[in-house]
Amino acid sequence: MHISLDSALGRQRRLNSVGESVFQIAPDASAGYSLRSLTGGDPSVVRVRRDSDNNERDFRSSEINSGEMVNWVNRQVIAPLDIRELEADGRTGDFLIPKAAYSLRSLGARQATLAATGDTVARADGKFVIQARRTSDDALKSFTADEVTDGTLTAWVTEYVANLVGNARYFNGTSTSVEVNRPATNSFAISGSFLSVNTGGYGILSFGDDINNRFYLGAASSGRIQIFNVNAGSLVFDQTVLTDYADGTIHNFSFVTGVSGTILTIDGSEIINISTQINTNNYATSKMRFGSRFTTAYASYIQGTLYDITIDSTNAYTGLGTSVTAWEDTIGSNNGTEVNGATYTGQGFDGMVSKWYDQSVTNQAGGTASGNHAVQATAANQPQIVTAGALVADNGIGGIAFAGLKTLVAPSVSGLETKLSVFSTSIRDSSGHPVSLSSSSSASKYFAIQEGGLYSRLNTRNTINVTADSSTSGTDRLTFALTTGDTVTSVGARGAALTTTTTDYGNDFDSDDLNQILIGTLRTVSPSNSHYYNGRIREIIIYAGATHGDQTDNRGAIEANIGETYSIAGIPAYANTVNGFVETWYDQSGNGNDATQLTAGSQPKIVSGGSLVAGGLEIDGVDDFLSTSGISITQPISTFSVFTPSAAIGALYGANNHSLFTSSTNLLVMNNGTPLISTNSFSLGTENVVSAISNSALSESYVNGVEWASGNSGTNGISGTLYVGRNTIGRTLDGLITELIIYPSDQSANRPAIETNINSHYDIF
Amino acid sequence: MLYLIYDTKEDAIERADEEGKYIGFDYWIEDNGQGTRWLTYPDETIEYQWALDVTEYDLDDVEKASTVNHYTPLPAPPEEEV
Repeated sequence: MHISLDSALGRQRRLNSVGESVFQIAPDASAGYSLRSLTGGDPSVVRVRRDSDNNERDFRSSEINSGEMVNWVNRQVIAPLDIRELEADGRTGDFLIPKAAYSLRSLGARQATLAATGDTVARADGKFVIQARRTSDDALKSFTADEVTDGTLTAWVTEYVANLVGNARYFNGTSTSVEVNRPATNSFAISGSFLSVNTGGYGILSFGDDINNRFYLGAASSGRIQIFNVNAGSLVFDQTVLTDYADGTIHNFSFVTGVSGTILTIDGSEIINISTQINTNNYATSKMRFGSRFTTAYASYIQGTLYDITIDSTNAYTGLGTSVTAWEDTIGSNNGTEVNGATYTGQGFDGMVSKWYDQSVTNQAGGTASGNHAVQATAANQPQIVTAGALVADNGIGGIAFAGLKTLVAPSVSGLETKLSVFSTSIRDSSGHPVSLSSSSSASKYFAIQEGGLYSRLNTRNTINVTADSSTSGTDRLTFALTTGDTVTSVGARGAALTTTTTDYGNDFDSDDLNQILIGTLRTVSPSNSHYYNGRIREIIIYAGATHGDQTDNRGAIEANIGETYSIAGIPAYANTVNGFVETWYDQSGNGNDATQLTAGSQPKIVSGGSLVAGGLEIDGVDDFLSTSGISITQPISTFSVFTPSAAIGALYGANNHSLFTSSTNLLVMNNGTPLISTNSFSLGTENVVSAISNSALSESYVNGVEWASGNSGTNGISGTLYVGRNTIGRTLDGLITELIIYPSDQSANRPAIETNINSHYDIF
Repeated sequence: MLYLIYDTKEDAIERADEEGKYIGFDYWIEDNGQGTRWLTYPDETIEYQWALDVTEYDLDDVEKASTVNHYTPLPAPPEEEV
C-alpha cells in the first residue's frame, strides 16, 4: 500500500514549492518544527512510534511525502501464531491454532518452547526453529531463529575453520592460483598448510614449463597424494601415497629435496622418503605456483585454501588477508601474484537440516507444543541451510534449499481431516511440490501444493485426482491452498482471488486418509523424481480440522505478515489501521531544540487508523503535547504557526508566562504577562497561519496575513520548558498543529514573505 | 481509570520505568537515551502526592489492591482567563 501526503491531503504539497525555504528567507531561528523541510534540504523531521509494536523510527520530510512513514506504521507485524480471530471490535478473538508451522523466523510470541532432542551436545529447551547437521563432523545442534540469522549457526557450521573464515584466501578449484619466484636450485624446502575439498585438485604447489618439464605436489579426494617430477621428458620421480588428504580438513605439509633425496611429510609423518633429488635443470621459467599445476593443459586447481607457506626460510607468506597482503613475502621480497582468488568464507563446510521444528502450539494457553516436527534422518536427503559458510538465501532472505531427493517428513500427524488450509512460501527453481499432506500407505491420497512455471496448483486426491490452478509467474511464491470438503479445491497465488474447482475428489478427508506432512515432495508411496521440489522453502503453515481448517477469513492477515516479511509483491496489505505517534518533532533550526514526548499516552498522533493525519500533528485536547527546554530568549520574539482548532481554549505553545492560545470564544490571545486579545475569532476546523510578534507594547498578531491585534502583550520572553500544543497551566490544544517556527528577533519585515511561503505550501488563504 | 498513588515523584517514575521496560519501549531497547520511555507519567495530586495512571499496566496482586479510580490534581497556577 502506498499513500502519499499529497494524495492524502488532496492538494499539491511540494518541498519548497515557492523556491526559497523559510530559513533561506529568514535564518537564525531558535527553533523550527514542521513535517516539511524548512531548510531546503531533506532533514529528519519527526520520530514516530507505531502502536502495533512500539517500534520507533526517524523520518525525513521526503519520507512523509512519499508515504514511507505511513507504510512503515501500517506494516503487519503480528506474526501468524499471534494472530487472533477477527471480532466486531477487531482481532480480539481466539488465537488461530495451526496444525503445524515451519519457518526459519519466529512465527510469533506463541512459538512453542521445545526440547533439543537428538542434539549431539545437550542444550536447554528453547524456541528452536531447526536442528542442523554440519558436514564437517555430522554433529547435530538446534538453533533458534535469532541464532540462524545472527551468525551463530554459520559459525557453528564453520567452527573447524573459524580462524580461516574471513582471513584466508579461497582457491576456487577452477582458476585460482598464486605465482612467486621458484627456488633457484634443486635443493630447497617448502612447507605450509592446505585444506582441499575437491576431486582432482593436485595443485598444492608446482613449477615447470610444459608436459615434459614439470614438478608438482598435489592431493586429490580420489584418495591419494602425489609428487611428480619430469625434466626434459625424463621422469625423475612419481611417488603416490594412497591416503586421502583432500578430505576437507587442514593438513600441514613439508617438502624437502636435496642431494640426499626427497622427503614429503604430512601432519608430521614422513610419508615419502626417496633418494632422488628433484631435477629442474631444463626448466625455462623462474616461477612457481601455489594452487594449481603449472602447465595450462594440466592445471588441476585445488579447491580450498593454502596458507602459512615458507620457502627455505627465505620467503614466507601468511596466506591471510587481502589478495595483496596474503602473498606479501614477510621475509624477503618475493611477493606473490594472486589470480581469481577470494576471501575464504568456509567453503566445503555446509549445514543441513535434520529437523524443521514445528513452532505451533495446541491451545489458547499456548503451553503445549504440537510437536509435528519435520525430520530427515538420511544425511544425503537432508535439505541445506548453510553453504560455503553462508546461509542459503535469496535476496538476503533465508530459506532451506531443496533439490533432488531432499525432503523433510512429519510422520504420524493426526487431525489432517475435514477442512485444510496451507500457506506455502518458497522460491521456485523448477516445477515440484513444496508441501503435501499425504498418506503413508497410499499413493492416491494427498492435499498438495505444486509450483509450476505459470501457476500455483492445488492437487487434491481421495482417491480421485482434482486440481485447481491459480495463474502466477516468477520464482517468488506465496500460495494459499484450501479445501472445506470433497467438492472444494481452492488455491490462490500471491494474494490473488481463489480459483476453485468443484469436481469431487472422492470423499472428505477423514482421520484415516492423511497422516503425514511432506515438505519437498508429493508422496512417499510410488514417488517420482518429478514430484520433488527444487528451490528454497521459507515457510509452511498448516491448519486442519473442522474448527481451524478453513482460514479463508484470516488469509489476508496471515499473508500480509508473510508478504511483508519476505517482500512478496502482490500481497494486498492487511487492513492498515495502525496508529502512529510523534515521539520527537525535530528542530530544523540547527539548535537542537527538539520537541519530545517520552510518555506514550501523551504523544500527538500522526497516523490515525492507518492513514496520515491530514493537516499535521493531532493533539487530543486532553494530555497530548511536546516540549523542549533549550530555548531561552527575550523579546522581541516572532513566531509563525500553522494550526487547526477543533475546540475552544487551546494553546499553540507556551512557556513560563509566555503563551499563544485561543479563548473560550475562539479569540487569539498573546499573553506575555499582559493579554493581547484579538477582536476576530477562529472558525473551528479551519486551518490558519498565525504570526505573533511579541515586542512589549508594540506586539502584533496576524492571522492569514491579516492583523488581528496590536498593542501590549507584556515583556516576558521564553524560558524554562516550552510546550508545543499546550501551555504551562495545561491548556491543551484540541486540534492540529502543522508548523511552529520561533525567532529570537522581530521578523516584521520578513513576515509577509514567510506567510507567503507557508501559504504557498499549505494553500490556507 | 486506575491510579496508583505514590508519596514521591521518583517512586512513581520508577514504576513507570518498570512498565516501560516491560512493554519494550524504544528508550529501553536502544540504550541511547532516545525514544519513548513511559506509557503514562505521574501527575501531582492536591495532597502533593503523585498519581500514576496504571489502567493499562500489568499489575501484581498487591498493586491491584492499592489502586484508586480517582484523584484530585494539584490546581494549575492562576492565569487570567479570557
